[in-house]
Order: sequence, then C-alpha cells, then structure tokens
Amino acid sequence: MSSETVTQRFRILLVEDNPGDVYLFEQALKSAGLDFELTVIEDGAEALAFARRQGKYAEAAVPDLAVLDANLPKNEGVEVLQAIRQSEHLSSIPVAIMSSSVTPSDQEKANELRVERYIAKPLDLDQYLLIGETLKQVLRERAARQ
Amino acid sequence: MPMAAVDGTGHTVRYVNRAFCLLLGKPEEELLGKAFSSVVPVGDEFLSLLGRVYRGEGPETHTGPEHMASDSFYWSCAMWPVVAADGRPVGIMIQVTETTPFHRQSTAMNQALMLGSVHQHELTELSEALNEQLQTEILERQHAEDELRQANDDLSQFSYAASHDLQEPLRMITNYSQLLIRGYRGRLDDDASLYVDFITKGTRQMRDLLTDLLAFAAAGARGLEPAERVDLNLIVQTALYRLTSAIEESGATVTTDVLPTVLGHDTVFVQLFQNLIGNAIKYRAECAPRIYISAQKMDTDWRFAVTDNGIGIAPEYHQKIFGVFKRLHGKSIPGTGIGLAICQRVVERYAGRIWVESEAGRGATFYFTLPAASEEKP
Repeated sequence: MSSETVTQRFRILLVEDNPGDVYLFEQALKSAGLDFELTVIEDGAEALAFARRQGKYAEAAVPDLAVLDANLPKNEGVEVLQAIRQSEHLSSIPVAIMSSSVTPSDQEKANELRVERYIAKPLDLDQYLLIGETLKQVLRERAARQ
Repeated sequence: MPMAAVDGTGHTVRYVNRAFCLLLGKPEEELLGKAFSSVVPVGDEFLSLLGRVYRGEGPETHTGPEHMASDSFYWSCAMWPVVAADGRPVGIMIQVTETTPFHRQSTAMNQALMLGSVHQHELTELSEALNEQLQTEILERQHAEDELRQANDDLSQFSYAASHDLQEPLRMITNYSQLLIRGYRGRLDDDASLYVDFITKGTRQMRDLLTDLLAFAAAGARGLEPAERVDLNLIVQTALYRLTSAIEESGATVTTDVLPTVLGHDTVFVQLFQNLIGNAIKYRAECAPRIYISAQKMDTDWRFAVTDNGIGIAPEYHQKIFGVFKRLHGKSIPGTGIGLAICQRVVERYAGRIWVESEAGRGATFYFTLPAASEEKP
C-alpha cells in the first residue's frame, strides 16, 4: 500500500441517525480535502448487520474508517463498536466515536474498546469542520502502518 | 385476748373473759348459758368447725371478717377441745385474735404495692408511648431525608438529561444558521443578516445555559466517589487560572489567606470558587475589582468569605439571587443566572450554608461553610 494518501479515495462508514449531522460530516470531510466514498447507515440494527456481515452486507467492502454516533437510541453505538471489534474482517479498522458530550467515563470506556478518537460534536461550525482534519490524520496514520 | 369456753353439742357458753365481752359489746350475764351461735353471729362454716373440734377431730382455726361488729374488724379464731380425764371432749376453748391491725397493715401494704405497680405500669406505658413516638419521628425523618435525597438525585438526573438532550437540536440550529450565512454571503439583505445574527446570539445564550445547567446537575449529584481531602489553595489557583482573561481584562487583584484542607471533591470546589470570584469580577464598579478570600475556623466547619468592592446587592435580593435562572441585571452584564444556584448546591451537598452580606453600591461578601477535614494527616 503506497504511503501517498492525499489522493487516495477512502471508504468511510458513518453510522448516524441524524440527517443534519450526516450533511455536516460530509462538509467536514470535503473541507479537509479528502477524496472519499461515504456509506451511511442510519439504523443501529442495520449497522450491527454490517459489522457481522449479515444479509445484504455479506460482501460489503471493508471500510478504511468507521465513524459511529454514540447517541444512537438504545445504546447501539457501543454495541456496534463491540461487534466491529469482534468481527474478523473489521476488527483492525480505525473507529472514531462522535458524541454530543464527552465525560471522563465515556473516554475510559472508549479507550477500553480501542477507539482512535473520541470526538465531541461541537456547537460551532468551524470546530465541526475541523473534524475532517482530525479524521484525515487518523487515515494517514493507518496508511502509514500498513 | 378474748376467750370463751363452750360445752355440749349445742356449744353452750360456759365461760367468757372480759375481753370477749368487750369484743361483743355484751355483759357476761347475757352470754353465759346461751348457745354460742345465738350470741355470736357466726356462720355455718364456723359451727361445723366447732362440731369437728367437739368430735375430737382436732383443733381448728378460722379466720374471717364477716362475723363481728363491723366489717373493718378482722379476726382469727382458734378452737381446741377441752377434754375430761378420760379423753372425752367436754367442750371447746375459743380464742379470738384480732388481726385487724395486721390486716390493715397488710391492706395498706397491699395497696401501696398495688399503687406502686400501677405507677410502674403507667410509667412503663408512658415511656413505651414516648419510645413509639420517637421511633415514628425517626422513621419520618429518615423518610423525609430519603425523599430529599431522591428528589435531589432526580433533579440532577433531570438537569443532566435535559441539557444533554437539548444539545443536539441546539447544534443543528447553530451550525445551520452559520452554514446559511456562509452559503449565502452577499446574497442576504440586511434584514436577513440581522435575523441570522439574532438566531446565533440566541443559540450562544442557550449553549451557556445548557453548560451551566449541566454544572448545576453535577454540583448536586451524589457521586459514588467518597469525599476526599482537598487543599483549597490549589482549588483557588485552578479557579483563578480559568478566569485569567477576565482577570486581565478587568485589572482585578485577588488576594487570599492561606486556606485549609477540607473534605469534598475538587471539581465542584473549583466550580464554587470560580463562580464566586467570577461574579466579583463581573459585577464590578467603576474601579478595578479587588477581591479578598479569607477563611475562619468555627468548631467543625470552616467559614469562608469572598469579599469584593463591586456594585453590591440590595438586601431585598439577598435570597433571590440564589435561585436558578434568577438575575438582577439584563443584557448589560452577561450571565445565565445559574452561577449562585450552583454554588449553593455545591455547599449544601456537604451540609454547609451560603449567604451574602451586602448593600447596593458597597461591595459584597459571600460567606459559605464547608466541613473541616480531620486533623490527622494521612
């Protein structure tokens, strides 16, 4: 795998049920100059199926990065994360968690589950757009390791 | 001692002594030669006893109250046979012993004993009733404490949930207002720009409120971590650090006594001092704020004071300012009105008190108490 990452097209999985946040996320990736192919799963159950490569996701391509919304109903964000870590195909992909608020205990839990970044969704637009830069960094680190 | 002798089956009175006559209140002549039962009011039981004695069935005694002059007269009667030389009973000796005084005494003793036991019983009942009352009061108080604790937890949880869940829609409003401005820069007329401006300001205010509401929830929350020793000097340093820009902008000077170590949690103490010092800076008068933090030991508590030379607070508002969302100023001085409510919640979490002494235009001193840590160093 070449270490040239800037022009590489990244496959990114976003698990997020709020369309407003999906759009903002896309804007953030664009503003960081990333070339990406975004798969959005809005439903926690669907996301679990993806992680377990069930049904229509049996042959789905492995993403370069997964970004999970921590505030899915019924705590599904954590479940999906666990499913990813337990999955054969996905266990090594970097995962970032996005949350409305970040408490120290959330951070601890995320560390236990090997989350690359734990990102609080900011109120300010510019701050939000900077998330694109953060994720670009994560992708670079991963590419460098391969 | 009254005595009489009778003979024959009819128990004819043959001899009476003077005491016996006095006992019956009758002269000797009236008694002699008469059947015993006709001169002495005795019952069948007595007579049958006499019969037994006469038949040689042994001496008998009889006691009773009912045969003599008045019913307050108690007597005991001993009877034994008088026998002839050949052993045949010829008569009966009757000796009366008055037991009234003994009876009175024993009655009195009995009564005294009964009274004593009644009193005892009453006292026992009284103390049991008091005990029950105390138990009920203790239970009620525990119940009230539990309810208060529950209400406190509920409030914290509610505050936390509300502010947490409100953040998402708030973000949507804020971010998309900003997107709107940028996306349509130059294409928005003055009115539209103004509208967006107000929307943005509203969202900022909302964000501050939510942040403070979260702090309010955290301040009262009964966390699982036990209270630990906290050096308040370090706490004040942290609070001052967080207020760096406010201190610089206002030219404020903050001086402090050497502060003690108390029991509690450092995060909420930082909040407490930060709010009080921040207020002192915010509500300043024309001149640069001068703030003094002091501590005084009272019994098992420490009493702290944060004194400033700011605009002061009129006495009629001294209670109101501790209410949630209660402010005395409009937009001229920014703030959510939750700061002092948070301070109060923090202090009360440790069973302390907080109050203010101030007059309008004469600065203010906020006092609060916190429990002292024990003297032994770990």
